[in-house]
Amino acid sequence: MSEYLLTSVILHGVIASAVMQGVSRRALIIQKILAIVFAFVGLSLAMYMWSRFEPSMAFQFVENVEWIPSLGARYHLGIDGISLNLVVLTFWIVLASILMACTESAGITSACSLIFFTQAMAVGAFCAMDTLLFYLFWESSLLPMYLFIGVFGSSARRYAAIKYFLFTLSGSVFFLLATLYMGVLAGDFSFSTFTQLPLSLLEQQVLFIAFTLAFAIKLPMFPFHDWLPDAHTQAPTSGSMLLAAILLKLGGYGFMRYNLPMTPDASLFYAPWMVILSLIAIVFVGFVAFQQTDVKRLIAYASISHMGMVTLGCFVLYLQPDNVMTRIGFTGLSGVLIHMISHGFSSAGLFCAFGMLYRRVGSRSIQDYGGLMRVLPVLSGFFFLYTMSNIGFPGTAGFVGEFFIVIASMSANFWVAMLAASTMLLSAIYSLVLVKRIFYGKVVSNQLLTLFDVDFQEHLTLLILAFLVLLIGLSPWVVMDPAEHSLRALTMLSTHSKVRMS
Amino acid sequence: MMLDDVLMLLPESLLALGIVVLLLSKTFYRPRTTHYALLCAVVYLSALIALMLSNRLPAESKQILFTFDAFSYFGRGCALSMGILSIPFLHSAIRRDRMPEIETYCLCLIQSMGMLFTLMSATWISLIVGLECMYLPLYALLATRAEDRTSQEAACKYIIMGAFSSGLLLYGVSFLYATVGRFEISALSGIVQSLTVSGSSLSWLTAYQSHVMFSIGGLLVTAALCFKLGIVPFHFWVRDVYEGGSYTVVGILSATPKLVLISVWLRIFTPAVVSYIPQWSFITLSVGILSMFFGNVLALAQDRIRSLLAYSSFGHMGFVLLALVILSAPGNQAAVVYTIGYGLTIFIVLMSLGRISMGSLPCHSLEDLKGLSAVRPVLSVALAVSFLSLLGMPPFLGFMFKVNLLAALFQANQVGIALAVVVATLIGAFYYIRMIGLMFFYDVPKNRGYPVVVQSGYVIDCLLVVYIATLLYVGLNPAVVLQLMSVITA
Repeated sequence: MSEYLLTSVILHGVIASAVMQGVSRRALIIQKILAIVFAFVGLSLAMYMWSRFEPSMAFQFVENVEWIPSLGARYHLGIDGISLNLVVLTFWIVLASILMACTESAGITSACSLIFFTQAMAVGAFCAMDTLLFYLFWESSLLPMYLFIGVFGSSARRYAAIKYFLFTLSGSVFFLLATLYMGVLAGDFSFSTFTQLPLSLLEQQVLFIAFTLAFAIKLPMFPFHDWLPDAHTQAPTSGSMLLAAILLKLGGYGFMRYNLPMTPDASLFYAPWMVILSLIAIVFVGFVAFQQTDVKRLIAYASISHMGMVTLGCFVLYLQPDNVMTRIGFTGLSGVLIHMISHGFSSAGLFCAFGMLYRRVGSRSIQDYGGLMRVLPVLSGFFFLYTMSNIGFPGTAGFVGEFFIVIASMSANFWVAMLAASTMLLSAIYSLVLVKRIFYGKVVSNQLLTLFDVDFQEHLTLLILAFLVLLIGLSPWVVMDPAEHSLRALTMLSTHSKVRMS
Repeated sequence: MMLDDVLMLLPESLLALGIVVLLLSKTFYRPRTTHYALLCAVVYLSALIALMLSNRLPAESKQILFTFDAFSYFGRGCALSMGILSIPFLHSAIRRDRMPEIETYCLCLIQSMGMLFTLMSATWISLIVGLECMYLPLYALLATRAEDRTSQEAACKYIIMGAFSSGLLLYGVSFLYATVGRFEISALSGIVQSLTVSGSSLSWLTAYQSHVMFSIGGLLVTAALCFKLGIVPFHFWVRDVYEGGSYTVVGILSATPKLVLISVWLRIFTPAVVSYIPQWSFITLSVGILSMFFGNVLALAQDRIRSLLAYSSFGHMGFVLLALVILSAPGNQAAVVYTIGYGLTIFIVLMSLGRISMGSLPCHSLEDLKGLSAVRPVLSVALAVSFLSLLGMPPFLGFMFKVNLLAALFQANQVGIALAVVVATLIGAFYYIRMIGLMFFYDVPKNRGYPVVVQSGYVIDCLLVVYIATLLYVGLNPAVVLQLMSVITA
């Protein structure tokens, strides 16, 4: 069983996607049941994998067969603690997103099919141990989301879809070039070869920029973030959940797999710039979020601000004093991983809860809401919980990651830590103002008074996400235990110079 | 003449026989349209089988006009397979575009025969005769719709430009012949070595003169081939031909002939020959880069599908040229593989567009694609997959072939060219995904219908499904094709 586990985990999404396309003429209830069953099967596969994972070992469930001999690329899959967490995250989010998509009235099969396909590509990217294979999955994940936004989105969907596609593609073609450059140089495309390949500082710098372009656009980092608010605003709820919770994480995962271990010297060289950009993202974009009148746009900007924490946690490693570099760097990278996972759950939760509001009211503008606490107490409660996690309130998932990253920054530089910590303040301001305006105060229109609270299926979706938010908040060790070994290895690789001796 | 020699040329002879039978058939009885299509398919299929069997024959040492190496076998196989593939589309197009049936099939067979001759020609004479045999039917095919003024115009332009480029080719060949004194193409590289050592092989030329003449000849031949491929400074006829011809005919003339021309290019411009022509690499390189950017940038601005595809074809041929410039074995393989992938994809694109374009309901502008996915799901998925493949998106065939091409550039240490290739690709991304968006993100406009003639619709839908599966399969497992190529071009 565990011999082909990763292949079956990837294939699950592809098969589910194909089957969902096939049942488009069947009764609605069959479509829904089938989709939910598929999502549960996927989740149980992921949990089986999680239970079989040995925390003390590096890459597990490895599959390694020949793929393109003329280039040296191999079908090489494997999973370590970092990717394990992200794969499990993916399956949970897909379950929530499928439950959400199944409450729609039309187009369920196409939507679920696209969700499953995205899942397959994201999982493939997380499991790939060959860079060309990684690129294949990474780039293929663009397409379903493009169609998802373009077909199911709201009024400006075509513009948002094309913008999303072009932005991401323009980063990833240079990433492809960088991959091929290293692959041809090494004669082999595996991650481990790439991390050991000695490179001159100049080569590393160029490669670093190429990698960074791709991941910074995907994540997105500050100057490249412009596509995300549009994509989130126009995407349907389940699409926003996937985008925020999984696809953005591909960017963060890329930083951890490519920039840090493959070009450590260039990372050291560029670290101050990356930290500055991250701080701009945290502070400036936090203010931008405060300005928004569109709820989904606000959550999108909050995501960008949170992703600033991710890049900060990655690159603050290089600003550490030498004697504590590996120790504190490890803390920072752990923070990055936990933050990515927790942001996945809390932002998906926010989009999900707001999606339910949007379905009832049909408006994204904050001013059309007010006083909903009395009308929709359950939904309001969940929304509030996700907001707390987004702020980084102790006890929720958001707190742990931010706390670790702030600790790591504190040892590097007081002012960096100061600005990083301001994220908690800023996000508290914009999130709480949002909550206040939507849920407290007067009920602004009679339409709002007629709304029904959540039904069973919506309740289940919200409960799943809430459970995970609290689980990670209260015992972050579910994430940390399997990942500790891999994170330590990553810290070692990232701090070890690999400049080619001439 | 030995029996083996006859058997070697059996595929071509079968095609010729098929042409005769087709032409005479109407004299004896009045067949239905389907019979012609079946006959044509049988001819192509038997030629393909004959080709496979002739592979078993011992390679003849005395090959004068033709060469029977692995590459020519492979090329001929490709040309015949594309011939078979084109029949269902032709069958439905004949009714739709009101083309004369016997003539159309005949011209296609003649064109295929010309391609086969060109692919295996070993001397200049057989090469030029083969090329003409391949191009003349295309001129006629373009002009088959006698009542259509634009198609007449396109045919006229095509024949004049074709004649001009053939003239260039002949002129260049005469220079080469004057220096080398032999008709064999392969003699070029041998003579180059003796020229560089001991001056001219012909007594009436000094070493300097022969060098000059050789260079002029080489550059003229390059220009002629670029002309026929539609590379940028020689591109102006391409758009008019795409605009004028029916989609089906354009599909035939834009797919396989490109492979044939690339194979001719590979036969002529070996590293030894190129090293004797000064500035050849520079000229070809700049022409390739120019073509790539020019094509992709102009395609951005088009709102007519045909023009868009015409301009994007410069872009793709630019890529291929860049892979040929580096003169390495992986580069050549990558170029051939890319041309095959491009040819197959653009063939299906044009044929599919032909199916939704008919006299009163033409599919000219990009707007006409709106909402196609709701009306013709299989066809629009095939189109979308083709566009993604042309753009070079995984997991489709185009991606792997582009990666292969880029890897060849990196192996030759041409990082700059690789960078130019991806930037040009990026420019091209917009119009491809825009077309996909038009097909999938819009509803069908109220005043718009699509032609409902679904002759051989079932067969073509099956073909399209197989085609999509092929693109996916090769995209995920390119080793099948790449391995084969490295065996063939070795």
